[in-house]
Amino acid sequence: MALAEIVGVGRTRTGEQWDLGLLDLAAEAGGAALDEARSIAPSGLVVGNALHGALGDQRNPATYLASRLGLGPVEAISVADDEASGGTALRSALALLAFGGHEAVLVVGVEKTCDSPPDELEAARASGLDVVREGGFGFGPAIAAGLGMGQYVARFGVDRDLFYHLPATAHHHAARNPLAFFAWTLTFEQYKRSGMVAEPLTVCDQAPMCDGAAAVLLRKAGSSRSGSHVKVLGSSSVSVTTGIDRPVLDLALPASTMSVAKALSQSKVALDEISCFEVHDANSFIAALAIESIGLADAGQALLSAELGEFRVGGTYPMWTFGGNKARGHAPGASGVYQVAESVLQLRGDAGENQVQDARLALVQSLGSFGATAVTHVLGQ
Amino acid sequence: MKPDRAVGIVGYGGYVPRFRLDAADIDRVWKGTERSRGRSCKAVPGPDEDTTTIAIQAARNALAMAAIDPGLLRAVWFGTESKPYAVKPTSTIVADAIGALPRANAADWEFACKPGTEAMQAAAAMVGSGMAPYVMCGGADTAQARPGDILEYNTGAGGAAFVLGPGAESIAVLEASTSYVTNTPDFFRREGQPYPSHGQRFTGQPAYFRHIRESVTTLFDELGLGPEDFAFAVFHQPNFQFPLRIATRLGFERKRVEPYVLTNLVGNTYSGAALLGFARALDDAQSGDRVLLASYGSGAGSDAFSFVVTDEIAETRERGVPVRFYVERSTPVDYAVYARYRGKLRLS
Amino acid sequence: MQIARAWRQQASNLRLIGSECRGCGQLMFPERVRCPKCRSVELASHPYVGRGEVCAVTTVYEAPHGFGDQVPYLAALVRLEEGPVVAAMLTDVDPADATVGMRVTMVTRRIIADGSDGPIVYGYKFAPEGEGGQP
Repeated sequence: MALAEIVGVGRTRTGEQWDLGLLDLAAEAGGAALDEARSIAPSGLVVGNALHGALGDQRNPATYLASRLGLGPVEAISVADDEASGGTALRSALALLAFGGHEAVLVVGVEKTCDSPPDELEAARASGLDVVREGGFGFGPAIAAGLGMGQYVARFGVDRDLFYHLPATAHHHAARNPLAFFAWTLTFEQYKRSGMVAEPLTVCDQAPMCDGAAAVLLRKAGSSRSGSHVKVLGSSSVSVTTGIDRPVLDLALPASTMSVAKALSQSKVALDEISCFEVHDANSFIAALAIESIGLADAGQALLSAELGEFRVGGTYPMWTFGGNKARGHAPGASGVYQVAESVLQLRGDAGENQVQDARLALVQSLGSFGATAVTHVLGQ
Repeated sequence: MKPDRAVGIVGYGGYVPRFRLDAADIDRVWKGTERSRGRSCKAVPGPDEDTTTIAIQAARNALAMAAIDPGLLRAVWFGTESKPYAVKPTSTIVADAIGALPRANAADWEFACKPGTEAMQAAAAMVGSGMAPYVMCGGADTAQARPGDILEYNTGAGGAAFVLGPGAESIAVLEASTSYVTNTPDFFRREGQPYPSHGQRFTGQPAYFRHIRESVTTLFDELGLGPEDFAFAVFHQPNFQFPLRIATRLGFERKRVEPYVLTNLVGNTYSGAALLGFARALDDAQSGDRVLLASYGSGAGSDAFSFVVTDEIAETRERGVPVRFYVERSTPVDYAVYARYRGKLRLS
Repeated sequence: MQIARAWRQQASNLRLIGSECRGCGQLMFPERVRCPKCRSVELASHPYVGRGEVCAVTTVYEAPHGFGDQVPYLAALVRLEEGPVVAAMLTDVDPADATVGMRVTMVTRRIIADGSDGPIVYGYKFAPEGEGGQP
C-alpha cells in the first residue's frame, strides 16, 4: 500500500543564483511542481530548509512561501533538520497526508548559501553539530570529515587517492545534467591538485555549497485517478547518539542502516531490487560510509566498488545519476528533495542520457548532523 | 620587613611559550643586517596564548609542586602589564582554572615589571600573619613594543607562580623583604595606547640601577648580610647587560648571577622576568643556599627578598615541572609569523 | 557569544568537569542534568584528570568563522583516560609530530574571542604529555 503518489516535480538550477533570494527559489521550484498537476490544489505545504535563519535569512519559510504561491489558507510547516531537512520535509508531508486531513501536500526544499562568506557558512553548518562542544571548539562538518577520512584510510589500509572515484562518479553523471552546478567530468589530475581543507580532505572531496530549490507535489495514494504516478512506498527516519566521534571512530552509520531496513521492510522491497540510489554525498568520507552502511559495499570496500564502476549508470548500484550533492550541487536543505525529484524523473523514464534501464524502484537517503540522523525513502512505479 | 611566623615557598612553577624569534630577524627587517644572528632570541606566544593562559600553566605547575588542596589558597594574585581584559582580573580566571574559588581573594596587580614581587610581599604577609594557610602569587606578560623600537628586541612572553605557605613546609624560607619606591616616569603607557613610551637612557641610572641598589643595600643592612652570603642573585632582566652591571656594583661575582639571566633565551618577560629567573635558580638550588631576588618596575620601584633554601627542596622539586624545560625549548619563527602571532598585522 | 553562555561553560572548559551517574555509573563530559543512559537526575560532578590519547587528528587549513586566526591548527578526538571522547584542538605540537596514539594532557588556551569587545572563551586543548603539560 503506497504512502503517497508524486504527481509533480520541480527543480531550479543549482549553483550561484545571485538574482534569486530564498523565497524566489522556493517559489520557482514549488510553482513548477504545481504546474505539472494544475488540477491539484494542495492544502498543505512543507518547506525544508537547513540553515533556517542561521545566516539571517527568512525563518518560517513555509508560511511565507504559501503566500508567494497564492495557495490560500493552508497548513504550512517549516522543517529544519540540518542536511536531512529535505527528507524530513517529505516525511512530514506523508504524515500530513496520513492523518492531517489533507489530500495533497506540496513539499519544497530550499537553501541559499552563496550570499555568505564561506567561513561564516561553515560556522553556520557547524551549529548543526554539537554547537557547544564541537562548533564552539573549532570543529565543523568538513573538519569532521577530514578526521574520518584519515581514520578510514588507516583502518582499511586504502590509498587515499582512491576516494577520487566517488566524486568522479558523481561528475560523470552531472556532465549530462544541464541543471547541475558542476556539469563537467572530474579528472584525476584535477582531484590531485585540489586544495587541502582538513587533511586529507580536499576541496574536491566536498560537495560545493550552492543555492537551489526542488519540489514534489504529493497526493494521497489510491485516488480515483490513474495509477501511473511514481509512489512513495516506504519512509523511515532514525536518529542515534550524536557526536562526530561516532562515525569517525566506528566508521559506520547505524542510523543509515536502521533507516534503510525499516523503509525497505515497509515497502516490502529488498535492497537488490532497487534500480537507482541517492546517497548523501556531502563529502567523500560520509559518502563512503553511507554506501557501506546502506549495504551497497562491505566495510572498507566502497572506494573499490566505485573504481569498478558499480555506482555508474549501467553498473550494479547506479547512484547520483543527476550528479549527487557533489556535482549537481549541495543546497543542504534542498538536497533531500532534489534526490526525490531526480529519482522520480528516473522512474518516469525522463532521465535522458543518464537513464537507468528499466528503472522501477529508487532508494533515497539524506543524512543530518554528520550521520546522527538518516531519512530514507523508497519510491517505485 | 619580616613576617611574624616563618613563611616560605612551598611550590613554584613557570611557563614560557615554545616559539622563538631570533633578535637578528628584527635587524633583518628593520635595519637590513643580520650580524647578530644566533646571539639572542625571545619567546613569542602562539595564537592561542595570552597572559592568562601563561599564568594558568605556571600556576598549575606551582600547585603540583606544592601538592596542596587548591581550596586552601586564600588569595591568588598575579601581576601583569598585558591584561587580556583591561577590566576583569586575570587572577579570577587563573583562580577558577586551578580550583581555588570561590573562597580565595583574586586580584591583578600592576607596577610595570614588578607587580609579581609586590604580590609576593603581600602573600608573605597574609601567610605570616596567620590570615591564610597558603597564598599564590606570580607574574606573567606577553609584552608588546612598537615595531622597530629598541624595546622590540627583548619583549618576550612568560610567567612564574609561587605558592607561599608555612616555613616548615617550604623549599625556601623568607628571611626578609624590602621595597624602594619613587615617583619616576622612566617608562609608561598612556590609557588606550598600544605601545609604551620610555625615556631611553633615562631608564638606566635614575631608574633601574638606583632603585635596585637602594632596595638591596637596605636589605643587606637589615639582615647584616653582604653579597658574599648569597649563593645566587636574581635581578630584573630587561636585557642581558643591566643585571650583570648592577650585580657587579653590588659586589656579586658574575658567575652567581649570569646563569639566571634568561633574557638571551626568552627575552624580557616583564612581570615574569625576575620571578622566572628566580624560579630557574630554584631548579638548581641546594639546601642551605641563600638566594637574593630583586625586581624592578618602572614608575618606579624595586622589591628585594632574601630566601634560604631548605632540606625539602630536592624531593619537593620532583613534583613540579622544571622551569629549564620551558626556557630551553625552542620552535623558531621568523619576523612575519611573529608579527602575525603578536597581532601586529592589521586585519580590519 | 553571549556572556552568560560563555560563563556557563567555564567549569567544563577550564577544569574538565563532567558528570558521573550515581545510578548506573555512566561517565559523561560535559556536565549534564540527566544521565543519557538511564535518565537519572542523581549525577555527581566528576573532574577529569586531563590525560588521554589521540584517537584521530587532522590539520585544518580552512576554518569556520572565528577560528581563522589559529590556522593551521590540529583538530583531534582525544579519548580521556576515564573513557569519554572529547573533540579538541592539539597545541604545542607541530602537525608533523601529531600522531594517532600519542599521549596528551589538557592545557588551557584561548579557544575563541568574540570580536574585540566580547568575552574571551578559554578552554581545553591537549598538549603532548610530559612536555610541560599538567604533571
